[in-house]
Amino acid sequence: MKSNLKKLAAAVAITGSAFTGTAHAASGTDTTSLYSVANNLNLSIVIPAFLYFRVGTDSATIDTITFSPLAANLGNSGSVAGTGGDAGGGTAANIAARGNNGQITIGTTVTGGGLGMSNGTPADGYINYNEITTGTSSANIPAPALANAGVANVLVLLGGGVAGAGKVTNRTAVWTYGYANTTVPSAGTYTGVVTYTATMP
Amino acid sequence: MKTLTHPNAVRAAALTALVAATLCAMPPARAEQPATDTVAPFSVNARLNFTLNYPAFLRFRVGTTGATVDLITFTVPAASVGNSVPISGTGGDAGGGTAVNIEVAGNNGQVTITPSNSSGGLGLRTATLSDGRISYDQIQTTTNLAQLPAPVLTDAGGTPVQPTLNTAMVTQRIAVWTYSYLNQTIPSAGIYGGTAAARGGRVTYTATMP
Repeated sequence: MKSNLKKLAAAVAITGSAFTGTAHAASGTDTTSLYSVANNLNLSIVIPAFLYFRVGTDSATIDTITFSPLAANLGNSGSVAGTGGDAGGGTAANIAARGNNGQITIGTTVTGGGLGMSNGTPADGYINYNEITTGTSSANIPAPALANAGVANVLVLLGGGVAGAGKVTNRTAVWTYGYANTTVPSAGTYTGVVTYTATMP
Repeated sequence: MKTLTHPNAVRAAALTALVAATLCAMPPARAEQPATDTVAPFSVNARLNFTLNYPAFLRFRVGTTGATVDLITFTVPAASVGNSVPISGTGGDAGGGTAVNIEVAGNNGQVTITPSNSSGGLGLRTATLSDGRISYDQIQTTTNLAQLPAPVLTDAGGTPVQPTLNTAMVTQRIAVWTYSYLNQTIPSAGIYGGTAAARGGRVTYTATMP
């Protein structure tokens, strides 16, 4: 009987003084001074890749910028401002490029089959897209120089987000358009569509 | 008072008390030596002293009990990256996965809970260093019990908190801490933190007591 009691007492003593708190678990108990229990919790954040690109009004709307040179000024090389854009009093467009997976490139294509803007009557001739000048408010998003074909790509400067985020682009600018008015086209209303395409790896 | 007279009965009673006392990690109780009264009216006193030696302890739980370390994952929809709408997590043992159960109990004075993390003061990162970091200030922690506040996490670790004592020396509090990703920045695409401590996503909460 005494022997059993001793065993029982020993077992109780061991259990009572055991340190079950661990340095890297999720629960534990410390029965020894200084009392300290450290528990871990792992956190993970999953960030998917995305690309956002805006030209003009931030919706499905496609803005139309219209240049209306005065009859008395046709071909005098006095630049003509536009109307209809969502910035710069109508002669400009708000631009935004955001992405998080590497370099963003903006490519440009135009309608007209390489001939320029048309009024619908081929015999009237065309207005070359290089008559449309472009400028940017921020060197971080250069404005592509328009041409009837082969418009050069531009690169959006990486950065603009949290410091050190190597694959992030978060840039805004305003692109301003003007009509150079260096030629005298046939009378008419000339139209064209410029498509800007942003890409990211 | 009529008391035990047979020596064996006295021993049995004392033995029972001794076992109970041992189970409670107490020193054995001491009974007086058996005595015999041979003169009517018979009366024998046998007194028994008890000492309750209650040990100090500190118990602390974060999430699942035992050796399991919970992993809370925040997955941001691609269309929502950086739009400042908080993202709930999954993987915790409470709150539908976005929270963890917290329990702290101790009996030797004020408990302090101090957070630290494995990021070296820089925040969570992916496997590619050039991807940059996500700061711990984007992880918000709330509690459902004011008496057991949740530490505010920072890249450097965070602010220690002190559960409210229940009595002068005793703390016994249970709460649920809920985590969310604030989603106020645009990080490089990737998976930040996780179970690899080197990627900075391991938070260690250390409870201490005098």
